[in-house]
Amino acid sequence: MSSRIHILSPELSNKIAAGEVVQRPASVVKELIENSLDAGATRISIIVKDAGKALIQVVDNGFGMSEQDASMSFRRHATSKINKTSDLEEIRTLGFRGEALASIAAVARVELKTRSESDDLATFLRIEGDEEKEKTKSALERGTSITVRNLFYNTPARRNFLKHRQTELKNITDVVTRAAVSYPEVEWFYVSDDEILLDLKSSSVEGRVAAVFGKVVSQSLIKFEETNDLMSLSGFLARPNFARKSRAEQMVFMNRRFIFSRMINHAVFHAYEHLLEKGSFPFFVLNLTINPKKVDVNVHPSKMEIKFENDSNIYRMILSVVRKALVDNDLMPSVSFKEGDVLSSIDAKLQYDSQGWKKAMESQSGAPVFPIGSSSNHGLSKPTVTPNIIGLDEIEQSQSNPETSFPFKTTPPSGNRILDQRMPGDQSASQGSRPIWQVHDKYIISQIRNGLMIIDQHVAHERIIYERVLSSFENSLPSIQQLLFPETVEVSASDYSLVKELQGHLERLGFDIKLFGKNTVVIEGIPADVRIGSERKILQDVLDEFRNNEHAGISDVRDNLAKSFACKAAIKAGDKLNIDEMVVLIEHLFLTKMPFVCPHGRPVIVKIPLEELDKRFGRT
Amino acid sequence: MKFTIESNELQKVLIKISGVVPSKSTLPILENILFTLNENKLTLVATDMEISMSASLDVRGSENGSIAVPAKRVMDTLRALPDAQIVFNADTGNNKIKMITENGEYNLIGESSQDYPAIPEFKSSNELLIESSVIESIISKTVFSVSTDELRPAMTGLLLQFKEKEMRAVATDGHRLVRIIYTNLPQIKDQKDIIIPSKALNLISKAIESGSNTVSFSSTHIKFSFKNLTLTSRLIEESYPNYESVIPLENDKKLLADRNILLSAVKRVSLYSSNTTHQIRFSMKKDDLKIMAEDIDFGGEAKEKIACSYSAENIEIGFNAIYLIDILSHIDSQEVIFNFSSSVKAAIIKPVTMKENEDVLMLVMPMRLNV
Amino acid sequence: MSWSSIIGHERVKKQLKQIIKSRQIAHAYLFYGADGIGKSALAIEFAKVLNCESGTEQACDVCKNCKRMETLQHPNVKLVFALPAGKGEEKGDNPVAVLSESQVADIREQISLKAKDPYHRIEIPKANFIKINSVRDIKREASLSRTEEGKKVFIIFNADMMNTEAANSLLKTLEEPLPGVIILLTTSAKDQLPQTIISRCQLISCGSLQETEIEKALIEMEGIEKTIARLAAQLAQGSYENARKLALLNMAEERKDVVEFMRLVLGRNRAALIDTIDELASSLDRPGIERWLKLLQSWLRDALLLQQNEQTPLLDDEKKSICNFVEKFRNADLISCIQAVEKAIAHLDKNVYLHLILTMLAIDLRKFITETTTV
Repeated sequence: MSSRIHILSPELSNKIAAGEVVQRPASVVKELIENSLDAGATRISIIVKDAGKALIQVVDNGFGMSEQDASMSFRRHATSKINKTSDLEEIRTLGFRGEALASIAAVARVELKTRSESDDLATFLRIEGDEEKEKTKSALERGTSITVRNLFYNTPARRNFLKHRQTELKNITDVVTRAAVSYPEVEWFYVSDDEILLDLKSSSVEGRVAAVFGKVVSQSLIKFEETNDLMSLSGFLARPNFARKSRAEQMVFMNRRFIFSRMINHAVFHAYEHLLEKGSFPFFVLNLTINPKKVDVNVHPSKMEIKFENDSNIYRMILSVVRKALVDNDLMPSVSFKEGDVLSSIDAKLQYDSQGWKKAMESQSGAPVFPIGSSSNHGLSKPTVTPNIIGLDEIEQSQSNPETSFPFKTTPPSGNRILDQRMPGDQSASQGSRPIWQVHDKYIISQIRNGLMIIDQHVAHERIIYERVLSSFENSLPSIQQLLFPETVEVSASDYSLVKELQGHLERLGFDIKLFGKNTVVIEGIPADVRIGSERKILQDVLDEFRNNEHAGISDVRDNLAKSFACKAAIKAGDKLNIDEMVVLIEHLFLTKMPFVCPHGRPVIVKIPLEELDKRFGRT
Repeated sequence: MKFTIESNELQKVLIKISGVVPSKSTLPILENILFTLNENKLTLVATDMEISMSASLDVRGSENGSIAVPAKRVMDTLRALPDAQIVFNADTGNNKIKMITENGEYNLIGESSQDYPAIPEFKSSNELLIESSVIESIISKTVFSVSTDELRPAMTGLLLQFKEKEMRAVATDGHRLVRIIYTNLPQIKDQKDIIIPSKALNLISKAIESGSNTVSFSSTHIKFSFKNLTLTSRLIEESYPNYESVIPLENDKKLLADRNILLSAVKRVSLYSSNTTHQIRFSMKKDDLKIMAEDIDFGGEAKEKIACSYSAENIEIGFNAIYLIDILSHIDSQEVIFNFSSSVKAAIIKPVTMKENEDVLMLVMPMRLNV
Repeated sequence: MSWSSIIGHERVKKQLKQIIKSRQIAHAYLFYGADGIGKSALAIEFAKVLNCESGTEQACDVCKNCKRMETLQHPNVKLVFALPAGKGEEKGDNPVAVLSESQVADIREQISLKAKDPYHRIEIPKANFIKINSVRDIKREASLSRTEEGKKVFIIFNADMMNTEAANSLLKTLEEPLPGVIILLTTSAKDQLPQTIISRCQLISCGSLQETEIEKALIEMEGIEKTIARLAAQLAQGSYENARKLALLNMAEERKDVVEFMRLVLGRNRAALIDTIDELASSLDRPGIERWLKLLQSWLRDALLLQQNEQTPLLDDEKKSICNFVEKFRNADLISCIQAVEKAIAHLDKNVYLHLILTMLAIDLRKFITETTTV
């Protein structure tokens, strides 16, 4: 039997960009898994300790190696997969880079135990740095077991560079999950610090998706398949209603390798266009099978980035296949007779109205037709120009009756609230005399010294909570309302590890959370300003938003969490506020450092000066 | 159907039951009140299909019959009339109703009594005789802590548990809980848990008459029968959370204080608490209770010291002032006892003196203080 | 109403009867299929049989419960549909509590229309979605004890009209089923429902109606003339609701227009053709144009059938024109013509300028009919 491992010819070796394969524990796991898959394994076990820093062990039942192969495997650019440069052009196996084992051995203590079908005894090798420290024979089932200990023991800088334990573990979990989805026929067994995270029997693709993402997701999936000369494309799409708030669950595999391609993601999003709300992302698993000649898999050593020979063709194909799958499943809206009738008549009416409005406006003042006139051109930026344009003290006091002027001036607000809880009738009576109104359950309008102030209630509250949370991270700690009946919430595996990772921060935020294992989180206390009944929802929302922000490039965990929580815990457009709630909101808004801009940069307050109103009414 | 009555008497009774009439309903018949005359007895029935109320009064009847009368129209008319005698005359054939006073005649159209839903009849093997004052007391002490979270329907009602000679009334919204146990009742045949919708409780407390009342119930309905008035309500058929398991037994730190002094101190201090969290703190040392609040946002701060009896180790616990005020206002004893265990566990509050055969327990979840 | 008065759906009826017979009743059923095919008729009948005192799979129509179902005023059966948003409506309000008198009157009228005609589509002005308070009402009503024997049935018409809030709230109710409570949902847009809701319902797939079924029902139930009934059934795309509406329109006139249009397309008088297109585009609205295009398509389809098989039965009023046409353009590529109309309809949906659609269509049709003929 010929030796399976070859040393790459220098020409070939050079052609492969010299890169660092081993960046973090997850890359080790990825390389080892790919080797196992290449060796035709049908069962792969991954065991990690301390997020891979202490131990990574990958055991498979693949071909195994002969003694010669085993020794050779640790030499740089030894690979059993590529012989000639022409082979590189048609890379069909995953771990073609050959340098994996050698690179790993360079930064960790590696043990290899392997037996091929033809050998009676297994070879045991212990490698440290470049040296073979030990080589013995022992018994083993057919297959290979590689143990990587003390990763980066000899490169402290790299070791220090590692992220938080939970982050590293999550990266590993992502790698294993992706491989498991891509290779459903393989049995997977994944253990981290004695906790079984995955135990998957060999199954169909559907079965695997269900096992990994949960039944609920799998039931909402649309399966699709399409083959043409260029490539074949198959996979699953989730119905738009199952869209996620973050991009966490999108997987693209090319020739069964996980890849990340902005182009492909964009094509899929494009197909979903109009079917998804802004800010939600479709869940999808996409398998591309493509002639290796058409892609350049060697762009980046970690092999996630892919270059296509003909981007636009592939883009178009993905777009049309995905769109077709969506259309076939009747997801695109169609206009029926009746709806059309109604719509067109409404349209006609609106047109008429706005025409009339336009004419009236033009004949009155000759001004352009913006609802807030000239200020709407700059309206978004204007309030942020100088925070001095409006101050709290500018809010007009009701002149006729000082008793009922802006209330927090005369009565302590908290007292008011307690009182009002007892006397709900009272507040409607006094409402008229206070110069604050809520319109469309969305905006608060108040009279200020020289005009009008309009506050967007949601973003205003968002700003308040955001600063409250940030300060509780910094110094004072939040109030946690303990719950009499703790809420048990089941979350996905990745959310579970996110909760684990963020637990400390979540606690500072005001969540009292216990992790119960098995993806179960028990909420025993909630931030005191979260409304009763939303305990369950608020946590999930915050997690989704967190991922979303993470993807959008917010790297500071605290800032991200504060933003996520603020966005989700804030009152929404559509929430009815009573007068006191509005007063409290405005009070707190002006206590913040930046009352004019929400944490996401949207304006909170729009001011319409009196002159503007005068102008509109032709009073100049 | 024909009878004569003083307008204000009719109005008085109508007001009691009209609270049930839905202001708008897709079932138009429900916007009526059913008038039934039998000799000199007029019976009025109103229902929203969840709760039915009926009341009877004496009239001078001259022609028996039954008709559904538009509630709003008849109430508005009575309200606008001066006190006067009314002859109420309805033709049950064509549902035309005439109300005749000395000077006027008011015609309205009713609906056939046939279309009016019947008050549910239910078989009850359980009947209890309860004083109005007890019913009032149960309702007033519990209703404030009934949940309004429609996602947990069970908690939106008052749990009544009957067992042997005992009745327990429980209400909770997940942040606080009230449990009242009545003992030494007449033996109750079935052991039963029922949940009464809070709407029924509110209606009863408005319509209640003094004296002794019969309460009868089955697993589907409960009926309160007063002298001239009955209220029948459907029950919430959900399982109530296991509240007993969350009432701590090991709360060994005892604080005894005057309820009024404590209540007014909490009210004062809470004025300075943050108006989003309403958090106040109890700090206890030997025979010394300090109540504190601070509003970081507005820089307000308040402290009060209260004489009390306390002998356990020093402890500090945070509460939502609103919850505490609610609880303290619904206890009628001169002094109250707090039982604490730790700053994250439920605190139990009990009156020191209780009526015979009555055991009141209130519980509030603390607001965790971070150190 | 009874099973037999519901048009078509034999398989579904059998399935529902079987469910009742077996007494293995799930807590939620989702009736899905195209608009206007009678999903709610099936759901209402199912609810009626579930509460019928006879206890069989056929409603007796004489018991108290059946009588009350005739007016849809049964206390155990609640109808849920989109309602206008109330002004100042608060959480937990009865969904109609703050609507105006006239709105409530509208709602009542719609219910009584629905009771009389199960194919009636409940339509209330400004009712854009099923409100959260309507779903809360279900939750509350479901949690209360029963007023009378029987099953509590909630029928949610067009469940896809629930907004996210409402759907989430319903989910809670579906997750924790209560004994004796059955929720029936209907939808013509199943995929707009959250998967979580779909997965908690037994699915009842309702197919489109057969043209013959519609035709028969139009003749027998609405007393519509056979020619019109046939045509309406053809154009209705399996929807009885559509068919009924179409049958009431003056399609004979429009069919004449279609023939005239074809004549102009194939003739030499371009100016007249352009005038006709102008007139069509200005006199008909988009749904009108769509209907007109479908008539054109049906005419072409009949021509295609005739082209393939001379024995094809044709509607009386078009017989002559189609025969002449097929005779004259033996080799016309009618399949491409039909596709061209299809494309025009698609463009219509995309809001393309009407003149352009019709002009393009005229050019295409002429090309497909004449070019192949000359070859």
